[in-house]
Amino acid sequence: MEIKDIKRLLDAISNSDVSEFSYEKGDFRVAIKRQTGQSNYENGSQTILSAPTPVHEITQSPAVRDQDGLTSSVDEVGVPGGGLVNEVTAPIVGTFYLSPAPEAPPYVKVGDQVEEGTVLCIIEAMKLMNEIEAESAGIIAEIFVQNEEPVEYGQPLFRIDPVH
Amino acid sequence: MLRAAKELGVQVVVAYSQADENSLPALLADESICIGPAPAKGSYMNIRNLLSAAILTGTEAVHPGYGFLSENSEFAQKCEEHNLIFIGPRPQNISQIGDKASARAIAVEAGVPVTPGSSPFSRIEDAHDMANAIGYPIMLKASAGGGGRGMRIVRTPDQLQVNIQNAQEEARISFGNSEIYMERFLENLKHVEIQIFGDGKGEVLHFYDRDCSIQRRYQKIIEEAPSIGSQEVREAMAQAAVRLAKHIKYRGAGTCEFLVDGNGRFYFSEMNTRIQVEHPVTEMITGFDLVQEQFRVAAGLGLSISQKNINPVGHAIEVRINAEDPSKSFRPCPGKITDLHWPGGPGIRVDSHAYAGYSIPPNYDSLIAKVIAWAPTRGQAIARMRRALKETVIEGVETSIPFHLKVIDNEYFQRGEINTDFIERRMG
Repeated sequence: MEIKDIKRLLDAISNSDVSEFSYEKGDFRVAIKRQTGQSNYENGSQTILSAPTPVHEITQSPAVRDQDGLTSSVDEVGVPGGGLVNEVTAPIVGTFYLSPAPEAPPYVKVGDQVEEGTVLCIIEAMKLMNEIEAESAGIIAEIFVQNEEPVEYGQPLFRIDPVH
Repeated sequence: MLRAAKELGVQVVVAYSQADENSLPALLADESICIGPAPAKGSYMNIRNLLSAAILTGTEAVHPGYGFLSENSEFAQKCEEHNLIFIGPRPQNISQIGDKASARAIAVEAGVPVTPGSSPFSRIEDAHDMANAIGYPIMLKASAGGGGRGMRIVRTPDQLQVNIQNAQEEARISFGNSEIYMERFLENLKHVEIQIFGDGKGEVLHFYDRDCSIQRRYQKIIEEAPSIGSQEVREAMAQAAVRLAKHIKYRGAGTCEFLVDGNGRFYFSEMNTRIQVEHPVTEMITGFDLVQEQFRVAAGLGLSISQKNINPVGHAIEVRINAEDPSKSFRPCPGKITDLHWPGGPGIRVDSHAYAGYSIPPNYDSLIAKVIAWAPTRGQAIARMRRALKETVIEGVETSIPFHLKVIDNEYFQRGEINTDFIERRMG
């Protein structure tokens, strides 16, 4: 898809009732979410930082972390500096979850191979679940935090070693 | 804030950005948590990260300090929605008064004199009409403003448009809101402000006045309490400030700023709905800890003093020591402080987050310390401040100390002839 196609796509969406759209083909992926006049607080993460890595933000109704009815969108949340080169660090303050649901298996274990974009974990903040993705391919070498542990901004979460 | 809390037996969590990991408050706190990267937008202005951090650490109350989100009614509102006590005014107070344009309207309602001015405008055509009605020179001000940003003086109509654009842009960057209004620009005035404190239920005290006329580019450099002027005018301003605050049942610490002309006429300029940088001079002359009172009132304990027990004694002067180079137009020069020695002795207070070996981050204000001198008379306070500044050692960065010494040695300053144009007019 070229830039002019993306522009046409954006126009088509703005002129319609569609609020979210995603398209994936091969390793090209685009997701578009329309701002619906929410306050700066809700969209705060979108204006924080420029980001090399998109983070999927799953918006859902308050309270329980439940997989049904999730809509996903791409928000740009910055990747914090300060960690070592192959460390994945927390881009927001929140609670770290290793699995998508209490009874579900963890997203990743030590030794797993991951690709760019593989979801590694969820950080929950203010009832919003944020999927954290791997920036590049590699093998999970170490997991620094435990399930349900509170994490601060920039805290190391995973070490991913490059594939030899 | 940290010191006040500790004295009250309250535990403190400091939320810091990656630039402030080794800042003094982060090191002294009972607990600290990193809430974002160095740029303030991602950390100190990041409502979501701040609230998340407060909830995760079991925080009960949030003190927003000054700057950043301290006058952000949305932040105050969100704190309350998440059962966090916001140590400061109610969200409604902030939006009513923190918006400088609506504050003028409230002042008028409360019978407080205001400078001739306008409501906010967005169209350039409207701006010309308003400016002509008010009369040049005019001052453009940001509705969401503070700290001197988003302000421009316009003397002739041909300069109006470009200054509006500049002011709007500066306001947008500094406060996220480009709304501008205008006032007649009154020159050769004193900037006198009244410290007030309300209990949120209709009771408001005042802690007298401060003179903050010594400013450079609308940023205060030296402040003193009380102001020099007739008792009558000072009392009238204090009563006007109390009237204004009572009108909106103001809660917490606040400051009403006035402009005073040579004939003793005063005009309401704006009100700040937070504790201010220069609050120590008021604390020194009244012997009262305003920040501890903020915690007490926020905890629901009510005002701990009555107006008749607030009696100012002596004179206090504060200088804001900035990491900046006076020989290079006061350009901020962050860097590492290699050696540091603060002044001591009677009547000296130093509020600072700096220490020997501390690296001043480039991301924020260049203020590194406030030195306050109190003495029984203004003349003695000046002498004490001179002594203290000469005793101060800060090595590794340039500071504004040499400039402050020139100001307090200036004959007009010593005579008390200080106006808002002091630096341009008297310092050459």
